[in-house]
Amino acid sequence: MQLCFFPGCNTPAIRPDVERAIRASLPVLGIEVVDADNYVCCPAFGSFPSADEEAWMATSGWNLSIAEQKGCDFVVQCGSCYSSLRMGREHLMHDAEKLAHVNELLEPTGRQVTGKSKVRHISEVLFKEIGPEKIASQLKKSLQGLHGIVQYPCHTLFPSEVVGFEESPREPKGLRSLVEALGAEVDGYSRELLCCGGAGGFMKSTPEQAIEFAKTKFDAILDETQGDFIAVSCITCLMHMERVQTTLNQQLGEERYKIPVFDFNQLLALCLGFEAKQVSAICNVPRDSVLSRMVSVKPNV
Amino acid sequence: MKPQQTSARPPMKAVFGIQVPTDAYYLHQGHTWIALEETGQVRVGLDDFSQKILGPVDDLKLPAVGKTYYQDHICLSLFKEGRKASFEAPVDGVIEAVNPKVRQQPNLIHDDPYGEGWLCLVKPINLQRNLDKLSFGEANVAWINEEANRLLTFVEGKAGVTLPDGGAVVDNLYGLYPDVGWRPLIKEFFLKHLTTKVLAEGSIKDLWQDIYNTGNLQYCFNCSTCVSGCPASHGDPPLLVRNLARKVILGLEEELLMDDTPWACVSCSRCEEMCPMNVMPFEMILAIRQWQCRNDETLIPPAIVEIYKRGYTQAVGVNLELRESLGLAPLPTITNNEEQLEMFREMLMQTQIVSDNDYMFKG
Repeated sequence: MQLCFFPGCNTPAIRPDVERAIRASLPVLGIEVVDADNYVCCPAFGSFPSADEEAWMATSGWNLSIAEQKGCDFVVQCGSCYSSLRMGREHLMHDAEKLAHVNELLEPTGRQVTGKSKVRHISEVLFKEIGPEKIASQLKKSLQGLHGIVQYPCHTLFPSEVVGFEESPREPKGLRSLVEALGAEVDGYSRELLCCGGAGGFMKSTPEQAIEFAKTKFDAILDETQGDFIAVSCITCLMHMERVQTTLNQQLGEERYKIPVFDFNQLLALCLGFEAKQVSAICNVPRDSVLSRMVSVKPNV
Repeated sequence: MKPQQTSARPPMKAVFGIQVPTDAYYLHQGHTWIALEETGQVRVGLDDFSQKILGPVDDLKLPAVGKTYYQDHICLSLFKEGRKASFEAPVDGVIEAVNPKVRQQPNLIHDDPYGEGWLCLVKPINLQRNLDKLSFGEANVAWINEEANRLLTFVEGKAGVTLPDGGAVVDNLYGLYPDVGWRPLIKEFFLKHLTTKVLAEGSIKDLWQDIYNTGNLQYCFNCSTCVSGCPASHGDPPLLVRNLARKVILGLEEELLMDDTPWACVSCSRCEEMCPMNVMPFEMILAIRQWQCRNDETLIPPAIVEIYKRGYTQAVGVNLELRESLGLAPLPTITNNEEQLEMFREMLMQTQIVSDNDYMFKG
């Protein structure tokens, strides 16, 4: 199966090791990754979607046409990119006038949108297309003995009619099952489904309150779980949940908050045997406590 | 065609140190002026009151020659340290010429607002009716006096600064008291018709028709589900989605235009999922932001300029060494493909928001 990889901006620009992890793991699991040549901003919700619908749709259309040209669906890691692309597609597919107008705008560029390519989140592809069993059967290393915390990307849950793939968005199972497939035990806690608070203007307009908001989540993790690491599936969650811990420690004057945060694809790539210096090279919260405890898996005979 | 009145200056009176013409010049409530030319044209400029507030500016956007503007609609802007002050047209008419000198020397607008700092020549199309809404002669003095008092109260309220009694309004007021706030100042004194037109007509507008035309909004019963679980509801000031819904439903145009909280939304869309009446509050927030941008270009996110220029808000595809060290090939980005990037820009230029604000995307 082929999927067109939509990298977004933060991943390739700031955390390309996550991109490396995705490009490494997917082929092992039977997915051929195709490049999205000349893709542009998804567009981020704070850009065209906040300014003008016409330009938003045109930008979405530009991107969607790329996957269509390649003849496959998009696979996306960033939560915002995923949600923006899906919302854009949703608007275009449910309004023939908008679709016609976007195609008029695209025409001089030699592009077209029909809707034949879908937009899929990478955790959905891993959870539903490949499945935890197949993933478990391919592992060279395991997280056995470690306790994991999962951070679901809001953008893969809500609004479930547009972006969802879980049976219930209020009781999501995908990321938990995937982390369990790598051998870890997943600890639930009271604030598991709370947003990380890292996207949009909240952190920009009132950073103090945004950090305080995230603190309640981390305090719950520390008080209620034995979490050794946090697995996220969105680049914003990854960057924000590291940044918050660093800031909180600075405020506190001690290293209370030091739970390593991984994008799930990084854990997956590590367990598939790829090297940490390529697939887990960049972090602000040290990850050695997890990397050093990964165990080798004996091949099934 | 040479403007007539640059040599013979009309009589002026000083009000709080502000020069007010008592003859020949008509004043518009948004602090532009007009003077009637022998050619049948009207000359347009900005009054000294506006220049006391803004001080000298760095740049300006004059109305396009040949284009028709209407009284009370935004027609030109001044720029100061990246901030924009827009002004409303004093009369209906076609722009026939602009002052080439002020393009070179924008400080003329400040230094000689009624003379060398004039902005454009307009062929009026509705002059008699338009004049009814402008002041003239001694009425100019009374009105600027009223405005100056309003300004002093406004500055005191916003920045806690009391200017000396009977003294003058300081030059470059915003520069000296930035706490007054740029947008509030512009709105309060230069863009009056933008926000008060609806109220003045005495009718409550169906604002939702302009902003968010979904019947479901009318079913919102203020239950607060959208607020509970909203990260930005913890902000200061809090984002209270249901309040925004109320403002839209009740047609509180002015309050909504000045409300910054829609921009704190994290886009998590939890409210969209949980709303029992299917109002789709996240879509509503985007629609409010779009409406605010339509009414106030200063709110247009700079991110769209980044996207226009290089395809992304981040510098994607330039970290080649880092990528190579991770075993990654260069990314086929649009930033590195001039031909495709140009096509993308041309497409965006066809959209209204980009073409209407093309000045943002140049350079």
